[in-house]
Amino acid sequence: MRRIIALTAITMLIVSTVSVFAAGRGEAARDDAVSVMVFERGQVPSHRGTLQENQWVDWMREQSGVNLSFVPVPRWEVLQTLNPMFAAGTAPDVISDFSRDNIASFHAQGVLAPLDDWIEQYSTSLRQYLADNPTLDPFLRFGEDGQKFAVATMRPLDTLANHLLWVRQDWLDELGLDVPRTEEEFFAVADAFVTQDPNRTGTNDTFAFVDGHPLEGMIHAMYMAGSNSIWFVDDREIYHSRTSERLVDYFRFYQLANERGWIDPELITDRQFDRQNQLWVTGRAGMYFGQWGPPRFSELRANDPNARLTPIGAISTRHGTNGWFQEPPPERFVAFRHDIPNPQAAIQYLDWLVDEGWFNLVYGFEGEQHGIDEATGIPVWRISSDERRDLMFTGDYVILRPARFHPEQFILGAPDDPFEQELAQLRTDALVEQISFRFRRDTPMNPTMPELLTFYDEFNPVFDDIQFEVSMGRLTPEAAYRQVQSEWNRLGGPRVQAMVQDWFDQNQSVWASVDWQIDLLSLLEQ
Amino acid sequence: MSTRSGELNTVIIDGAPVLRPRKLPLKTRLYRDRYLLMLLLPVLVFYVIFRYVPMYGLVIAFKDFRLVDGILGSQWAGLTHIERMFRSEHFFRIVRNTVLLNVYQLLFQFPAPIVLAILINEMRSKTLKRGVQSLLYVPHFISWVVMGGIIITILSPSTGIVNRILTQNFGIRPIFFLADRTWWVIVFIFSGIWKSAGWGTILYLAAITNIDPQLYEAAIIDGAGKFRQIWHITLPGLSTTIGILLILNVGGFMEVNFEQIFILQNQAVMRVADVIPTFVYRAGLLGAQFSYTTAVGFFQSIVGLILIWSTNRIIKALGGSGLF
Repeated sequence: MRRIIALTAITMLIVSTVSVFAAGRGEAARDDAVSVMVFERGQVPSHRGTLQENQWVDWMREQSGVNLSFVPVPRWEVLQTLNPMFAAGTAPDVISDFSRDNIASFHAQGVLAPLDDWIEQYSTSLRQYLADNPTLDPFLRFGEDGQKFAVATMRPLDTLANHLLWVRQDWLDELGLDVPRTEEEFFAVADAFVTQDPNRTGTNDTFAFVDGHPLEGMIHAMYMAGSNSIWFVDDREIYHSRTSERLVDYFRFYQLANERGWIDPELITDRQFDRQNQLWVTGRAGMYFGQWGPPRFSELRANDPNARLTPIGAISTRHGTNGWFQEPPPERFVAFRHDIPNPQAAIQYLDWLVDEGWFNLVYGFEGEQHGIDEATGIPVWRISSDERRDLMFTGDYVILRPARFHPEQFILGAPDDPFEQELAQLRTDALVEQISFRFRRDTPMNPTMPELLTFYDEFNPVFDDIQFEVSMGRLTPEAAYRQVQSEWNRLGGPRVQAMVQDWFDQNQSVWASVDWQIDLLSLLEQ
Repeated sequence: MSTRSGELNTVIIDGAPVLRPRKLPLKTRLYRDRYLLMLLLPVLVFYVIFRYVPMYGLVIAFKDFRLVDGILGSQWAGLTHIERMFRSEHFFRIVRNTVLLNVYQLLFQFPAPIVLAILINEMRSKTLKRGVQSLLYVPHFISWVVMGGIIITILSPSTGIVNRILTQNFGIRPIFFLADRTWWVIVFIFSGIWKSAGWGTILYLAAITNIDPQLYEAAIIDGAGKFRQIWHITLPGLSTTIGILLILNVGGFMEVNFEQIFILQNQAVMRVADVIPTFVYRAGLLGAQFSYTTAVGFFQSIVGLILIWSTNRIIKALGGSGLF
């Protein structure tokens, strides 16, 4: 009996010790192995395998000649996932993100590798691409010595355009109103949508607009005020968007929206915007603050066959006309972990992506998934939209792509169905409308010094409180603005303002030397 | 076991000689119990590796931690993070909210399972009792994400069932419970009770079954009614369990269930709903301010330790049996 107890005890001891130590050591990496982060959106159909292993991954290994492995990272939890991975030393060799701020945060933590030398030494296609697109340059440099810590390709036009305001044209026609273009007209339309029963149900069951997620950012753009991260420059003076005097009108908008019932008060608990979208598709709201893709148009049309939409590219205020949000030129920022074992292989993979890999990953193969339109040379889908959804996941492997966008693509690719044709036309119009107004961006990126972030931790909650009070009508917009000013000064705003001014003065000459502000309309004409 | 007789010693207790086992030298005892100790070893290893070693990570509260330098390699920062913490207005707000929500929880959520356990215990029908118990356990198994969705839906001012009843039957104007700072706190506490009270009855019910039935019989003979029985027998019988659970509860005093509060909070109530865990999540995991948020977490643990220790002392001073 004693023997058995002793044996059990010893076995348990050994097992626990071994497993503890084994957990600490990873597998020895093969010489040419490269691990690449890929966004996990749960889009891989089960019969296609997993995001880590499927026929496309095999194809990529074969074509690029690099021993690739993929590490899925949930699309909306990049920081929550990668920060602990970096701390534990298990982060992938190659990471990528759409957000420059996230990459800057990793850079500040010292976990990224400078790329200039490796690009110079190993790269062919990517090096050429970066040389041909100097617009990207200021966005890829980080830190005081301005080394390149990331690479990127230019966004095609359809991803440069982002937010857009939509209005129910049939409601406007019903009430005899024009498409609003100014703040005054917008307010008049909003009032009419709430009080004049535009959906003809006999009750006042409508809201002027709903939030498809970007409402707050769009009001920031409309008034050029209120954003928690944007800084503006007037006459070489840089100032935070929450200290501008335009803030008064920004606050007034929120106050009116609540006071006059333009917006559903339950937006505040509707954090996934389900209820807002429900109001929209059931025809209980006249405007939609969303993206440039027509919002839930097929559902809306199914509920209300008369529904017609018009996109609005900007609402002018007395402070001027500012377009809705447009992305900066770089698409995905691709960076290497600071101790990446095989930078050469990683560069080889990126070169292959830029060269040819991206095209098949986006469009599939010619003759199978797509054909080439003879007149324009544009790839056109040969498969149904359901089959396309089945292949959507391959797009997330494409961290670099020198893609161009052609607006004809919508019409050429649309199935021969009146609704689909109408939708394609609407998408084309919406994109043109979006890029017809320039989104004001005075610096290529936002400042991110640690003192500033510490200040934001104190200031932002206070600002949010004030904004909430003014929205509820407990403060006048003017009083709220004075309160914001005094809180800004009290919490040390002037000190960080001076630091940001220094940062601006130092970088301004570099930024001025490249044309980082691209003219979107000129891209359309190319 | 021939040595047994040699292990007895004579000691004087209360003026009378008593035979007591003689204390053997440590070495002998270790050798004698070697197999039992070996069985204990994996547990000790677990605690050392997963509960004590990670504590060295606390030093980053006194360093400027960067991911690349690691815990040991980062530069020392002295007390800058602690200073920033105590100078920060926002810090006091999150501490105040954390403390207040916990006081409310202690006042309302802690006694709920006790009351519930006594009520269940007094039920006559065995079948009904079991059914009620099972039903009460259900919310424990629903995740907060789902619970949050249910709560937001039923409390909606336009479509929620609660407001419909209030409007139609009592003529009260709809209340937006989750956007009102007072109501939100009440909803927060009640949702906690809803989810945990049923499950919490398990320990109390187990303690009640341990109470000697003869006590109840004697009480009935003496003419005690149900309430007298509960007051003089059930509650005193539960006092030890209540005491221990109270200590454990107070130990977690500075913690708030992250999932619960993260799912229920919104912009309108941040003034009362922003607490230490949600701040640590925002500033630490999202904002990469690892050192500062570690300092905040450290503060939280120290307060928790002080509270658990003092509650234990108070309970002992009141004549109860403490935890340690």
